[in-house]
Amino acid sequence: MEMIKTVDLHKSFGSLNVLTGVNQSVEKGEVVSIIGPSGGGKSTFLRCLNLLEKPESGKIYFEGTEITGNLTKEEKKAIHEGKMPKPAKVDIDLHRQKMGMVFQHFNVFPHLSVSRNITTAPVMLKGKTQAEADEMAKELLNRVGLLDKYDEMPGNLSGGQKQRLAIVRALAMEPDVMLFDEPTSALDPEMVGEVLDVIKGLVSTGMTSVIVTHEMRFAREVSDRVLFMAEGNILEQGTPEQIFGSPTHPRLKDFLAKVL
Amino acid sequence: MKKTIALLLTAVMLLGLLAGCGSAKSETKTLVVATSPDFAPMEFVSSDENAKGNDKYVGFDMTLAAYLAEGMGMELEIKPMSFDACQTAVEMGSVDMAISGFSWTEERAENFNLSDYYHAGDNEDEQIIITLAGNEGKYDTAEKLAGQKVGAQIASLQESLTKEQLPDSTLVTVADLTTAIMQLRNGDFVALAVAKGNGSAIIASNPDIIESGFSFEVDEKYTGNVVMMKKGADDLTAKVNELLAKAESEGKYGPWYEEAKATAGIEVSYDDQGNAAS
Amino acid sequence: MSFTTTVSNVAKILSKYWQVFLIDGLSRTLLLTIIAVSFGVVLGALVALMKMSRFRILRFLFTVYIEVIRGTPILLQLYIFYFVIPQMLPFLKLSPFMWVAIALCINSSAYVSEVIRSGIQAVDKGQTEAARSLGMNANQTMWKIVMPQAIKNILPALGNEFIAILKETSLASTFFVGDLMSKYLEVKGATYLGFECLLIVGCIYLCLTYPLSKLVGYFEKKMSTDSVYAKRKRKHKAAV
Repeated sequence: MEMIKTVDLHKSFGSLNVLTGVNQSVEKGEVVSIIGPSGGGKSTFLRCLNLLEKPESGKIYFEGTEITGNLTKEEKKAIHEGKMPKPAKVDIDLHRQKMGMVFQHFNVFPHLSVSRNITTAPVMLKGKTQAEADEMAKELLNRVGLLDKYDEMPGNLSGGQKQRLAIVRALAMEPDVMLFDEPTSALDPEMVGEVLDVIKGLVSTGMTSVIVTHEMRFAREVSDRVLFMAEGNILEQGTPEQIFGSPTHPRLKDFLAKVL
Repeated sequence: MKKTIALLLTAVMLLGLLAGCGSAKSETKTLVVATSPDFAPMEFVSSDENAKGNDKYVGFDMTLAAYLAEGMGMELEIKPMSFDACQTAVEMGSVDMAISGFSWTEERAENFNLSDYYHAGDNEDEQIIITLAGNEGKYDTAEKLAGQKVGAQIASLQESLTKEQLPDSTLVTVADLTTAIMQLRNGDFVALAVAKGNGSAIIASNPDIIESGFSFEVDEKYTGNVVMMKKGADDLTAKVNELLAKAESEGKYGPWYEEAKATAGIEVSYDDQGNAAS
Repeated sequence: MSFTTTVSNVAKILSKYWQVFLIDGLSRTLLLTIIAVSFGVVLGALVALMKMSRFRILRFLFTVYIEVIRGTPILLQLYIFYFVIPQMLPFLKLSPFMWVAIALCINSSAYVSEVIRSGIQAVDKGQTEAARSLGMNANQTMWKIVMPQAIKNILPALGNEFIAILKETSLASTFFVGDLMSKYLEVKGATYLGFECLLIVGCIYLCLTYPLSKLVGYFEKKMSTDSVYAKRKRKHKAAV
């Protein structure tokens, strides 16, 4: 079953075309890594999936529902002529609750304790009681080895600990899919491992994940499928073996030669 | 951006318009008088801590204001504000008149209705030049002052006199007399035009300052003060002139001025201020 | 004028007028400042919200409001509130003090709104993105995530605004509302010792502003790092 599907996604910043008609889908339970050179549109593509960036045109279907509200020319015409009802307004906040996102710079909430970082959204948005949420926070923190930081403020955590906290904060919303935007790029090298281990553990439970990463070995290890993005589109995709073992697109060959 | 600028300008102009067409004070039983109560003994704040309302403001002009209000059968309301604001208040009709030791000037006569003169004692009869001690006899004629810098308070009678009678001197305008004295010491100018009373007061407390020996010729129109009213308020002006004439014929001015000076009780021996700013 | 005569004149003025300055003038100045800043904060918060509104027309109107007020002399604003507005609203019988206070509130609101807005915008964009990605709506994000962090940027700046307004109230002396500067004019007018009077009020202003700015500086330093949260938590823990 398709969890996410994009159709002809376009996005530009000013005169810079960042996405040039991306068509892609992610199956339920699938782990997809996106690799490619900087400025190739990887992060923008990921951020479009939960509409942190709004694509100018094209559609995104999340669990079967179109979430951008973008209309094709034909649809606009049909609505104008009354042949098609105007689509209902999409409540993106509801969809975002089901898409966890992890950022390069962690973005933990510095003014809230570790436990409140995790519990605030579920209590506010999912009707959980504080006790239920606290219980869940303990369980999640235990899973990522941060239980002893339960009462701590994020300011006292290391980068790796912050990122692990950010991951469980997203998991506390019980999402259907996790989006990782270069989760280890801002980390000191010695902390990369602890975060990748947490993500590995997570994908092994069958969590649908889309991971933008520069860690090639990690991508090779955990992915079901790898996308190579450059110049605003997906130039090649396939299993890790195909992509890393027998690349065909010259840009991909070039890229791999540089990073491996 | 262009739009913003356009709107800003419109807003500013609207405000200006509003200011311009402020409606005239409607018929009222209260006579509202603006004054700048920082010029003893003409108008100043009573040192009596318990004084409330109009009683807070005393001095020659305040006695006059009370006299005018009584003569018109109206209640008096004093509105204190800075000297500049007094003129604005009259112009906009926020007050009926300003009594704040105003001298007659051509510009004022053009833009306001001015009353006939009233005389606060010997206040402005003599206008002199003061200078630093050691300059005795150096600046006692217009010829000797030619080519020299002479200070005078901005928009004051002294400024006009200096322009008129010392055309070959360079005029330096100053904000107030306190600053002017420091500037005189500083060498910003060699001589300072002041009202005689003011000059004596300054000399009394500053032994390093003397009279230069030069006196201006003062036309009668400069020696009196006037009440300032809105342009076109002719009925009011006539009424005020009538009452001023009455006060003069009753010989009120002298006693009022003496009383004001006594009230001021200025320790540092200043007998008058000279209304330099007027 | 020698140093000794200045000192003796100051002493003379103080012995006669000390309560005019220290009781009447000082209390009026403080009252005016407190009114202006507290109402200015309430108004300023509203203006800041309007300026960050989704509606272009509101944004535009309040941008104009802020620019006009910040771009014109406060003296003009005082004149308008003292002369023009009362004539436009003749049924509003307010004392001159009130009109001056209102003018200062309006003036302060424009500056405070910029303090609040920049305090909010200084919060890392990633915070908003993280909150929205969890599914919080714009309001929840603002009040639960952004505002608590913006406060630490805003509070010290508000302290500085308080100091600025404290000095700006001196312009209210144009209408002799009884503040310190009015008292200066009054006493100067009665004694003709302008410099000495100015020295006295200057010292009083300095005695107010110096400790205040020290205090603001202290809080600024204290709030400048994220460790403010860490410290707070540690204290909390110790208490438990």
